[in-house]
Amino acid sequence: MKNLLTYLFIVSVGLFLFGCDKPAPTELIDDTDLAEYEILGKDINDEFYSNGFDTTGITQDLQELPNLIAISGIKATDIHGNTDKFSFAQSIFFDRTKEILSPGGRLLGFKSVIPGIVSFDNIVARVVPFHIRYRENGVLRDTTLGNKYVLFSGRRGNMDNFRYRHNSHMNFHINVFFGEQVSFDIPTPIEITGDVEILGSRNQDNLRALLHWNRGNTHDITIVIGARLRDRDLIMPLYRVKTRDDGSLIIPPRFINQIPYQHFDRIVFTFIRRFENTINTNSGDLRVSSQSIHSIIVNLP
Amino acid sequence: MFANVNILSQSSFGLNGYWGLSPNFNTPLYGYESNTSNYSHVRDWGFSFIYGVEFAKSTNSNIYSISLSKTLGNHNLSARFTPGYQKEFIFNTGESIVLEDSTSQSLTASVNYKELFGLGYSYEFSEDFSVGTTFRFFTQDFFEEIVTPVFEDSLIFFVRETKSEKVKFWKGDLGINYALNENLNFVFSSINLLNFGEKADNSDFKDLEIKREVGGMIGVNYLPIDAAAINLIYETTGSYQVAFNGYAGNLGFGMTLFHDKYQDPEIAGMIPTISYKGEIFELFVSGVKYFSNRKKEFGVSEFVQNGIYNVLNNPYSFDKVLLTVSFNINTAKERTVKLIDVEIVKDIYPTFSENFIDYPFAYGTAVNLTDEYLTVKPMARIKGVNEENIQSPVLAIAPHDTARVPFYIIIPESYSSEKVELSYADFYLFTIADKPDDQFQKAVLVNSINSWDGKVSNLRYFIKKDLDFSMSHAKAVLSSNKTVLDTLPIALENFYKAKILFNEYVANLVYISDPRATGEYVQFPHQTFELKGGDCDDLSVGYSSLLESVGIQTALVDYKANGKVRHVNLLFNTKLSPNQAKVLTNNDTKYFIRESVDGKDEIWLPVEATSLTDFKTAWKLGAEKFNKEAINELGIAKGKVNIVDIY
Amino acid sequence: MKTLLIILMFAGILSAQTFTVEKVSGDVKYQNGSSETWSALKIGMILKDDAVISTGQNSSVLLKGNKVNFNLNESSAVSVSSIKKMNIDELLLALAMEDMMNAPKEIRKSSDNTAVYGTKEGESTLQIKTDDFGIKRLNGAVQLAENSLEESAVIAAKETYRKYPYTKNLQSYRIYFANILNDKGLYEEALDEYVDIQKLKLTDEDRTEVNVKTESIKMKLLSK
Repeated sequence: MKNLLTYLFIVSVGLFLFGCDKPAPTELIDDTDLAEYEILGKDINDEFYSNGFDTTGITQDLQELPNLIAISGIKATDIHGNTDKFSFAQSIFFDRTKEILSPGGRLLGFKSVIPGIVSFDNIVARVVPFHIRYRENGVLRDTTLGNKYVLFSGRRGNMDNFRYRHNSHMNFHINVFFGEQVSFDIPTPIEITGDVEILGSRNQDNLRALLHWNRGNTHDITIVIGARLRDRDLIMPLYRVKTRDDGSLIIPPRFINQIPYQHFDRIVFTFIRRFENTINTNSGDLRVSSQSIHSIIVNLP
Repeated sequence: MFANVNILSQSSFGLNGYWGLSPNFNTPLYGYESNTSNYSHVRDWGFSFIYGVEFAKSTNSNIYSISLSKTLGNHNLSARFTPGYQKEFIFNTGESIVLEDSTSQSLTASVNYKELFGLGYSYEFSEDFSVGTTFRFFTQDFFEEIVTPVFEDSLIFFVRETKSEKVKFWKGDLGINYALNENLNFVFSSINLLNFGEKADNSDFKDLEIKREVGGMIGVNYLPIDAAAINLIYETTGSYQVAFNGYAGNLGFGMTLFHDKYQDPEIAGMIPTISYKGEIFELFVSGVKYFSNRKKEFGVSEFVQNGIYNVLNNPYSFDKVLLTVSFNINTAKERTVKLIDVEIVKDIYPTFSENFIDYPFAYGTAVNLTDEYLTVKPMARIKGVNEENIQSPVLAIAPHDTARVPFYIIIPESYSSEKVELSYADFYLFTIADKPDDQFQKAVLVNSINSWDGKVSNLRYFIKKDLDFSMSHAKAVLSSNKTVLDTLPIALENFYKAKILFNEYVANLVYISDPRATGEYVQFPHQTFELKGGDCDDLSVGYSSLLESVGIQTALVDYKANGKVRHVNLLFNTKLSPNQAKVLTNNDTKYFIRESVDGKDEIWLPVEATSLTDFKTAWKLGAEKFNKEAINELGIAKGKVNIVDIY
Repeated sequence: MKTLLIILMFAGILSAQTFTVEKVSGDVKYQNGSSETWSALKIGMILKDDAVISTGQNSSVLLKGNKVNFNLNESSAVSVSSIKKMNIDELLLALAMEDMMNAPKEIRKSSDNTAVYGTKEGESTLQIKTDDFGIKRLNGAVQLAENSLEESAVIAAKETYRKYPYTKNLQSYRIYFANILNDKGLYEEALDEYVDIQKLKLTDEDRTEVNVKTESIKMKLLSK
């Protein structure tokens, strides 16, 4: 009897030692809502970056900005639910041999040049200065990096005869001074129309945003979440979320609740559906971007 | 994100299939899933473990369960450790972040559901009815990587955090097992009746928590013939199992089909099992085969939407092959013989020591429970009297036979209690081992050393026990009369010695007819000497002892009562032949002839020991009584007068 | 059996009787109970059960009792307790008693008694003058028989053989009492006696008689 028990004990120990693989965990494949979050504005006070953001929905690090052609069809919905429509086209070319430095020696960007005549859908784009703002030593400054091409139509600003056509193609043409002519079509995505619902309450720590939009013909859309500074009429970009174009996304309380209402009084959700392409040319990379944008401002509870 | 994930703790799915309340096998009963009421056949100790291989993308092996069970009388306690009962899911939370270097990183989450261990208790009211309960302990390990924006002063940055929580809870259920008859039995038990423990704090995890939907389970086990059983188990939560078992000798096989509300197809899978039952162990080899493709890729969204209901048996479970081994360990030896009853046939008179050597003092009724001839060694022991067990002769009992076993006892010489003691005797039957197969205890009255059962034939024990005292006393008396004795012819030695001793004896005594000194109490000679008196038993014993101690043969004469108090006096052997009677007396009615062992006629004289006068008177009185009652009234022939020789 | 014993018990009690001395002639003595002395018996004396009477030569005594009268002739001795009518069953009991009196034949083993019952040396060196009381007792027994108290006679005779061993050799007495047993139909007991008698020195006539009787009994016992 004792022998049997000893044998049993040894067998059990043996099995324990050798037999115990942890059962393989089941890995589930990603087929859900993917939302990629990115921090945009790192410092509220740094208006340097506010340059890169406006209703064009483009936030870019100016230093790394390639040559850019961007056309956008924009809608903006205000607090009261009124929506304005805009169309915007922009093209910027940089001469990377020419650095633009701040007095303090900080690299602000590169000189933006006008290599020829640009037209979108046969409408010639205007040449305007490329202003930027930056903060150095606590002081806000203005400067220009050069010039850029712009076309704009909408309630505010210049009224060019330029209209962004969604779900179609628009043409870009450049007549390079002393050079060739380049012309190509830029496809435009289906117009995006979003909807924002703020749910929960700050007290219960479950303030969250329920976002809906119409599904379109891109794989993903981007939603930029910004907030309006309380004492300034300035929208500060906070995060960018890239998500599948499946029509809905919940922004969890983490992201909404944390926004300090001492600094901000409104949130802006900007839905962007974009076709983007980067073309290599002799003069560097050329990014072609065509987007449908819908910005919605809501009160921050 | 994690909403709507339902996890239900174990329903009745068991890794060995469902065997109902199989009378032959202990193994399936270790599974608390189908045996919620902890029903058990284990007679003493039971030990079981399940070792299995799971056919996931890779094959991995595990100890699924280790169980221990102990039966104490009608109670059974069990404990089960289940390292293999776990299911982990790893998936991306759906969020990813863009890092400093512009690369994207997905955030992961995992949930690990484990059943760690369980405890069971049951009470068997009768062979047909038992009630029990099981408690099982679960942990849920939640883990999630999240990113949170932090607004600090004027800076914003993402902080990556891990949220984790370990939520533990207990699940308890009650069950009843009832056998209607030999062929049909039922089990009724609860599902998720008792739940207590923690709840998840984190809202994300709350949705993942195991749902505790209360339900009930009914099992039916039907044996149409000895060799086959049909079992059915139905849960009110919507699942059921159907099983068929067959038995052939030591082998058994079973097939269980189960339906799970949350799995496809209708019959989600089967569990075929082959079993073997040895003397002390049982072996089960079973397989779990699902009827749907388990190795395909599963998406997070489906998991999140539907959830799982059972840690061990869910849409994500893999096919398995299992080996279960159970051991039945009886630390108690099989009983081979049973001692049903013991009858004490003798009163214990400590002074009658020789009596016990020849005759048993108790008889036991023993039954041989085996199929073979059994040799039993009876032993007995009286508390307060014996320090060790006293062995009685070995005897053989035929298979399944009942035998009357004699138990002997020895009263040690050293026993000297003068009080009547109520003690108890332990009777044992040994076969081979050093522990008895069975034992019996009976109260026994141990009389004092002075106790007497009234039989004059037993007075000799009192005479013989004190011989040393008498011898020294007699010798002292005789040596002080040496001169007289030396002048006598040797033939007359006995007579004169008897005379001298008697006269000396009575000189120191006063006759007392003490109520205490009745037929139940007899003094030892030294006591009579110390007390200076006694009744006819005491005085006859005392005088006889004196004579015997110097080699004079004596016999007690028992005048049985015929309405009067019984009386005892004695005869002693003068060793004179009838021819020599004249030396003693002129009256031939005063002596009696008895033939010795070697055929010689010798003259015996009766002496009335209670006559505390002198030898002459005592002899006279003794002779008259003997003549009248023993001889003339044919007392000896009629049994009214009995001569009891002291030897 | 029990009833028989009860009857016997009563019989025993009733048979204890006293006698009055009717006639005395010559030298008649008596001894009471356990007295050591003999006294002269006179007419009118009442003798109790424990008395023994003895007649000298040419003497006789007549006793009168309740049921029985008894005449003791010369040179005889008899215990008063023997003067009674016994029935066959009592006789058988009394005969059996002889054996029962003896010490048990088997000696128990492992006796704690370290004393030794040995025969003492020199026992036989004690010489006692034998008197004729034994013969007197036998004579008395004969007269018991002649007074129709044959059963008591046999018992008295047997007692006498034991107490007075030399009387065992008196073949005429032996034969006489053996014959009583034979006549009473107690064949086995008679046979034992005849067989024992055959060991004695007998006259031819006696021997023949004994042999014949022996054979006859044997035949009777065989045919049973």
